[in-house]
Amino acid sequence: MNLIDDHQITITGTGDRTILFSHGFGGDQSMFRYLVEAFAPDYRCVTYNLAGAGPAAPGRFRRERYRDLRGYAADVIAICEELQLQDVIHVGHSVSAMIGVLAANDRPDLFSSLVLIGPSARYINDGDYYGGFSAEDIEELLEVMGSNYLGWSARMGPAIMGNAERPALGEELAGSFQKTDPEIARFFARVTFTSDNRADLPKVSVPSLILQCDEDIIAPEAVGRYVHAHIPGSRFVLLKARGHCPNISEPAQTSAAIRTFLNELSTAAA
Amino acid sequence: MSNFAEDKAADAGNANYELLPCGIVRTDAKQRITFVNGMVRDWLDVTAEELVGRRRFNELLTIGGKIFFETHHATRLELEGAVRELNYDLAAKDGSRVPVLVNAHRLPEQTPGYLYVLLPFSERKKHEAVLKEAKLAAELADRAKATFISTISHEIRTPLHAILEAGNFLLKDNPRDDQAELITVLRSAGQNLLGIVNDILDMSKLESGLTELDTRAFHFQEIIDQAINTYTHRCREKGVTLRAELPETPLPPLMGDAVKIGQVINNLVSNATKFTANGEIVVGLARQCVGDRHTLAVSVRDTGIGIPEDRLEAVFQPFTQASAATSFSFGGTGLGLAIARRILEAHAAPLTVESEVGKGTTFRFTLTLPEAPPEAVSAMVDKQALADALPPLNHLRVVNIDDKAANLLINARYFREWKLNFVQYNNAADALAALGEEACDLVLLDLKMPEMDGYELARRIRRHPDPRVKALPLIALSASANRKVSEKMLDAGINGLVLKPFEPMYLHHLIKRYGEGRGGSSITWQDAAEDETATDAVDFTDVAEIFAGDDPDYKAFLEVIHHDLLEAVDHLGKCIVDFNEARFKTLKHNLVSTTRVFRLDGLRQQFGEAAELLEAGDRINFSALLERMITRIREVDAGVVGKIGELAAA
Repeated sequence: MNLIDDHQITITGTGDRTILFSHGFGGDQSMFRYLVEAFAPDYRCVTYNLAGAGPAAPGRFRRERYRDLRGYAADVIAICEELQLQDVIHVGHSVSAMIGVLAANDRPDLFSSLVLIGPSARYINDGDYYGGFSAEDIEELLEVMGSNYLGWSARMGPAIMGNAERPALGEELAGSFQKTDPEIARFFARVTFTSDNRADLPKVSVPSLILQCDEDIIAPEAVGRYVHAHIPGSRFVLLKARGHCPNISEPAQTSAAIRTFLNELSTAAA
Repeated sequence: MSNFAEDKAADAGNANYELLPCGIVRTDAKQRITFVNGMVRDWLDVTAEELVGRRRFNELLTIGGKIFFETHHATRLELEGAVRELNYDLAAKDGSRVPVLVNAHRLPEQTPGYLYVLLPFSERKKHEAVLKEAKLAAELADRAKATFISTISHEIRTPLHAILEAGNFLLKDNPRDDQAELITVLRSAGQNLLGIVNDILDMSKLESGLTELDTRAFHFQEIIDQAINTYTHRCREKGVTLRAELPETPLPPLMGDAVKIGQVINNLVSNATKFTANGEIVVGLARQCVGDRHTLAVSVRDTGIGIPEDRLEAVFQPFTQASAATSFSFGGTGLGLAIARRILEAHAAPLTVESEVGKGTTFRFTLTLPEAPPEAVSAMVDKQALADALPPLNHLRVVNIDDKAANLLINARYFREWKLNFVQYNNAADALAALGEEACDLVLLDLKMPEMDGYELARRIRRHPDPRVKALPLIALSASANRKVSEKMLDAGINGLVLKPFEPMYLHHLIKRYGEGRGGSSITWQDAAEDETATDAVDFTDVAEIFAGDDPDYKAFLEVIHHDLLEAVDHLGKCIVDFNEARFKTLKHNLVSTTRVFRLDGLRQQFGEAAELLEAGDRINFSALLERMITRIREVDAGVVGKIGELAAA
């Protein structure tokens, strides 16, 4: 087994520049389907499944390595090295926004910019800091995940109805969902929602864009603004998008915002 | 259609929804609620006005549900158009919860939005909980039974062994003829009982599914040869011929669990031996080979008493024999065949029987095993080849001092293999006295000894009046390795350290190097941190000592340990996800003696750390640590299984 198999790395498009997409909690690389469609004509798009998020060989997931986000960040770096990627544009959704921050702080030489979609430096409220959740809320999430054990490991897959506009998508998703280990998903939930990356934000040295949805309960606007305020020189774009996943609900707005950011960067560089 | 007509149609649809015995929620494309039916209003004790246009669907859920909906459900729904059977609690105004099963659909383009169908779930949830509990209880009860049987078996074995030993002593003590007869009865009854206990243990392990196949390269024919060798003597005494009919071309090495397959053939031959008074017993092997898969048809045919047709199936039942009279005249528990069948089931190979009363019985099974890949074969051959390749040390002479006879015996085995000249002493004083008299090239000494320990012995050697003795290379054999010990050894003038259990090749290397005077004044430490194999290997020193020279008991003990370890892996696996403190504590307590006896200090420490993490509520690090512990226990278990294999083969 190698990295490519472990993470089911997919490369789409042949552009000179590379965008590496890291998906968030609860998803897999299919969450970037629309963005990849939008960028593949002129960028090389690399998507992959986070450790434990796809049908990797059982027993390959080591809790020791993934007990905090650094393990996932190390995977991002390893993928860049394995594919010999340079000047990588890292697009991280949800928790992976912070995974991208950690990776870029560790190896700024590998990354040219970061796009953070719905980022949160910390989900749980802490004194004056507002994260949106309490520790009890997270325990409740784990409970719901537990009771949906069958729901999304066995039943959700086959129950996916097929999509009138995109008939092939159903099967692809069903495949990956059936194989996700529910206990690993719960472990990842714990790691995600107890993470605290506030101290890592000021260390970011690459140009960054924060994409904030205006109706997101997972990463409310105040949380995104906090990230913006603490990453030096970062840009902030508020999307008119419901939910936590504008890459799915509002792909056009999302990709347009990313393009504007990338174009501005290259203009500035030129 | 005009807007008016659309509204009319929607109203008609909504009116129908009111009649449904399930909850209906409709939202617009932004998840804002546009309709709720009476069922939902009743559940939540709200009016339509409170929800419609004011609330979103996810706001009907508990907070955990909201997060799950946003991270898992909403995206799927948008991508896929529908998701089914998600388990949520609705949060009612008064704080109570209504469990529902949610099926969601995206509405067609003309009326963008979503339709949620909520099925009442309390009843089903209750049933599911009851089922889950019943399943858990059944599993626990079964495991408890298996543990009970293995514990009891082990408990019985210890006193039984004492009885057998006592019998052996009595027999050596020139008993009177009438006493000798009784002692023989005592011993043979004891042996039978031991066999029964072993069978019960095997059976309980097979039944509880704790038996795992240990697949490695092996020679199938050797297994048959071994069974024949074991029973030839007994058959000859009875006047029965025991022989094998083997294919002319020898089989290549195959992959399989040699110990288990050997047990099957042994049980079948043992059974045939028991029920055959004259004639012959033939172990047949026919093979077919497709690609690298070999299909082996094995038969054990006897000319014994036979089994009546209506009892043919019954002989495979545990504790059942062909008739009650059988057990009276032939003995046995009737477990042998049941065990054989269970083992073969694990290989997906049925065990069948044909028999005619008075004529004889034939048992058959067909196994398909893959040919061993070259790397597995080389693993099998290499170990031996490597050991054989060690150059002889017949030009050297060592003095070996250890207070424990078992250690001296193990060392002697290697020394003989290496053709090394050696003298052994079980105390430092005798060795010191002898060193002045005898010429030798090297001293191998144990550090922990009563009266004069290894350090003191080393110091005295270094102060010895005879310059030859004074300059002897001193190599310590020790089970504990830490810096402090090393410094102490340095002070005492010890040149090298080999950790126990030692890697034979390493010891060979040191003896050769220092024995030939090439060590100089340099010091060789086998550092615990540097030598992974030495520290990671299971330390059998203590257990080997406890069971010194008593292989069957040793093996039986290790089997219990193996069982416990597998159970521990199972429990730890559960603790990783349910963080059950009681379970973890019990497990920690149960494994204390195992960690002690195998000197698994690291593991014992990890148990302590894990308990603290659990107490502190650090579930992430707790489960990460548990995962490491599981890996370690599996390693230990592999060591134990390897040892069991060695003992079985010996």
